[in-house]
Amino acid sequence: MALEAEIKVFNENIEEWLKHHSGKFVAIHRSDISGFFDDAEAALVSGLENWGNVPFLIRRVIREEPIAQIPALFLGLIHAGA
Amino acid sequence: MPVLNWHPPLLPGGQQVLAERGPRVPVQVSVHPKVQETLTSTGQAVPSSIGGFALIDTGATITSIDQNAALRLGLQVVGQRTVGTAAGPSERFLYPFSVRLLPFGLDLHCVSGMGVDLSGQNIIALIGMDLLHQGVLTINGPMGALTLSF
Repeated sequence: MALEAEIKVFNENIEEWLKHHSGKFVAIHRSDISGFFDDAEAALVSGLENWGNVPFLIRRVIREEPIAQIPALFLGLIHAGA
Repeated sequence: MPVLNWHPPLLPGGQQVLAERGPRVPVQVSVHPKVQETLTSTGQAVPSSIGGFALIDTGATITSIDQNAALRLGLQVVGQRTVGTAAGPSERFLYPFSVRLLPFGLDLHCVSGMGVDLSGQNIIALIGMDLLHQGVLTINGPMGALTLSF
């Protein structure tokens, strides 16, 4: 699974990070953490600078991420025309 | 914020595009500019952008890109997220990319857009509220016009 190691690092540290970095964005590659940032783009830039254009995880430090909703797509309701 | 207007041409039968097809906008999807900078600085080729249509979807909480387009652009995964489907919650990968709304000359940059299967939909991206909430969107039905201000 892609980013399995990174997600494990995030899950192992989330409680501690919530104390000091709640709401920030973190970038993780394997077990390396590039830092905590105010927005996702800053986390992206940091990750690219540190690791290059490779898969790495960008996650907001929040306890539970809301489930994304794209109802038109997943309920088969899109009619974008031919 | 500049105010950008687009009046799509009428369909051959004289119908309004917005009424018949919804807010479907010609776009080019491409690698996120920050990724482009990294590729360029390391001497790697930047994949060419892909043309198609994007549907402005105010019911979507997240912007998405066709999975095949993401592969063609060589996008690297930056996360995964749960999305609600008719069959229950499902995991999808997230990618950084950009969408140029051609009639508006407007670039929207998405750090964590969702890769989804849009094959057969005649679109390559759905523009969701994660991007739309940054600006103003007006659909003028009687005029058959879309207005964006970002």
